[in-house]
Amino acid sequence: MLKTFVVEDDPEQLATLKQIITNHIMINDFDMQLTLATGQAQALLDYLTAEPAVEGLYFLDIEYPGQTLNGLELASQIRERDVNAKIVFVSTHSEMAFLTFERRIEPLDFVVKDLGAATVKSKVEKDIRVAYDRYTKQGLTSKAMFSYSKGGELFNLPLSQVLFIETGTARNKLVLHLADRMIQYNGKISDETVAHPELFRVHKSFLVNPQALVRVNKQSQLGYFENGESVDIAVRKMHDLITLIKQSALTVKVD
Amino acid sequence: MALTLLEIVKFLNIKYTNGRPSDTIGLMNFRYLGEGGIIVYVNWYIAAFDHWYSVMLVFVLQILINRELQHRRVYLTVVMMAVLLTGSYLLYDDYSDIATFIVNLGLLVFVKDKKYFIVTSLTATLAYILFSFFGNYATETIFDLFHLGIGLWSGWAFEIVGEIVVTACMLVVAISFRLLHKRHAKQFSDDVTLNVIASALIVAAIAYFAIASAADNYNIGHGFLGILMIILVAILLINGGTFIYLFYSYTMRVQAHRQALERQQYDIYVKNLESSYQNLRKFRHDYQNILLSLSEYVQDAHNAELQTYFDDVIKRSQKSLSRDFGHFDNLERIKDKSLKAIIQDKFSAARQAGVQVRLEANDDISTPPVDPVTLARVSGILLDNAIEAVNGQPGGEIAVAVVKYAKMVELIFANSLQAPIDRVDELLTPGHTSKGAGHGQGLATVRELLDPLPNVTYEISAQQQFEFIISIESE
Repeated sequence: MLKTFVVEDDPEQLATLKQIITNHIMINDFDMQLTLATGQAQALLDYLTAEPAVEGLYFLDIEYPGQTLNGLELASQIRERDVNAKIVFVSTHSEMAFLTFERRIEPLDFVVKDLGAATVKSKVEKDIRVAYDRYTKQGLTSKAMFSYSKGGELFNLPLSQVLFIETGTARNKLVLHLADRMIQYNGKISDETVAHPELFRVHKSFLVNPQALVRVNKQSQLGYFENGESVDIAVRKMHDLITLIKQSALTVKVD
Repeated sequence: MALTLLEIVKFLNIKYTNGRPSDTIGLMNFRYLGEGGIIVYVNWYIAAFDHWYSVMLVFVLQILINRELQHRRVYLTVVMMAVLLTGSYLLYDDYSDIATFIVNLGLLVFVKDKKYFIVTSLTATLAYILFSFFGNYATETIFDLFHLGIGLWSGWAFEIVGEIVVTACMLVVAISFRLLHKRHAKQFSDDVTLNVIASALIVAAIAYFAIASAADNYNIGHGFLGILMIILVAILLINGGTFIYLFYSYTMRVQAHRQALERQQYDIYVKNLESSYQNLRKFRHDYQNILLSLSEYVQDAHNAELQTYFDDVIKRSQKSLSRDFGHFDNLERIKDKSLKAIIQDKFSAARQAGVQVRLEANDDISTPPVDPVTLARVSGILLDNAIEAVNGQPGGEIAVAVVKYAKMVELIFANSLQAPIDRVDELLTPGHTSKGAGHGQGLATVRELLDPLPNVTYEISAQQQFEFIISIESE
């Protein structure tokens, strides 16, 4: 069961959110429950500490005047306790820190209160549906994750997004190429080769995710990815790579 | 003929300036380089040619340097002046250089940029005086090398060779002046520099004229005159230079003091502004929440009239509340002065261009552990890129977020995009300017600046929005 939580300090708005959520769960007959609707951020944390292994959908405000916790801190504590937490921020536009929350919390959605009651209602309902959908599919697609660390923080992302890791232009820096992003981080390629057995070292300076390869050209010794990026493949690694492609029955065009 | 000439020369074996016979024309009928390279005239028409040419040369140099003087009126005036000056010179030759210079100043009527004109005029006259000495010695040397005697015709030849040498030197001065003017246009229009140059030249000119007339009156030879002149000019220049240095260093100090004072006042002003924006924000937040909870009651009341009135109120206050106050939001949280200054500066530029801006800072941010100049350059480039990319984009927005972690600070620079860019790796390649997105050249520089820093890494993505994240780890 997907548990739903609301933390909103304004009693009127809390009541409205409660109503929207219970109604929508009831109408759709989801395996969901509004577990806790409170004005106190600490109350939610206490609940999560008492009941481990909760999977939840959380509607949070950003500022709780007079309370020690704010929305950002609350959300990051929820993440620590519930890795798959689906967090939705409900607040006024001026309070939203979209970039910061996106970076630190990866929320499911932002609901901007000042857009009017009707919009808030439809967005909250949509978020319930999306969260439930993800919750039910969670078990089916076992997501392999990839993680890297920066400044003591661990960043996680699905392995399917990883294309390859490249040694950077500067010493001890690696560049992680994702399908839509490039991330530089500190590390050594030899360490990464050991740490990520799912990736394959095709070259002195390239560690490739074989799943992401689209085409391998034996002649020019290059491997191509969907977005057009390419990596060099060492002669002595070519044979191993092609064996691997055949063994795992990957859909890579070899020419 | 040659014999008489030699006799006359022997008779006239006297210095040009000292002990001159009272008969000026008698002297000027002869020109010859006597002992010690002193000029003696041979025939009056050579003297006339020499003087006419020298006056014309100074004027022509002036015209060459000053484009403003290139009119027919000026040319006519110059010819008339040259004839007049030559005539007066033939009658009485003392202080002819002073006369040339003063008449030269008559051209001031024709120019607008008086200060620049005085500089060029003085340069032309002084250069001529210098080069006419040099020209005489050079010509004498040439004649000596080719073993040419001084006859009536070689007197002409002497004159012509001498003038060619002087003309060549003057042309070099004119051309270098032009080049200097073109290359350092700012210095030539800068009042301070022009004042300094003009005063130095005036000092040199006055020194020369004063010593020349003194030497004439007290029968002092030209060689001694030269030494005197150098000493005098050196003393004057050293004095003048010291004075100018002291004066400017004093004004600089005063200026620096005033700037520091202004900066301080500005800081106070910004602080006040920030606190009033903070109050305003708090009020806006409260007011919005009050409205929202009121709307619940209004809806429950089922009163159509109240409902429409309330909707109207909401609509109006929404408009005034959503107006962008953003450029001062959260600025008070950034404690690093240079970072704050650059964000503030670029944000106000963006706002002037009609771009929405937003600053996020979840915590007080002290100075990040990175070279402030590098950080300022990088943030400047990224913000300029963002402004350029968003400019003209309907609903375009720029956002900067400073995210604080336990052992790291991240700066996120973001701007809205019209279309996603698939190959972010290409954006960082030097020489690759992405088509119209405005991120290009600059990003390669950003990469060059950040790559060598061991505690700094970056991320870049360009899907729904362009994002450049700089992670600065505390060492």
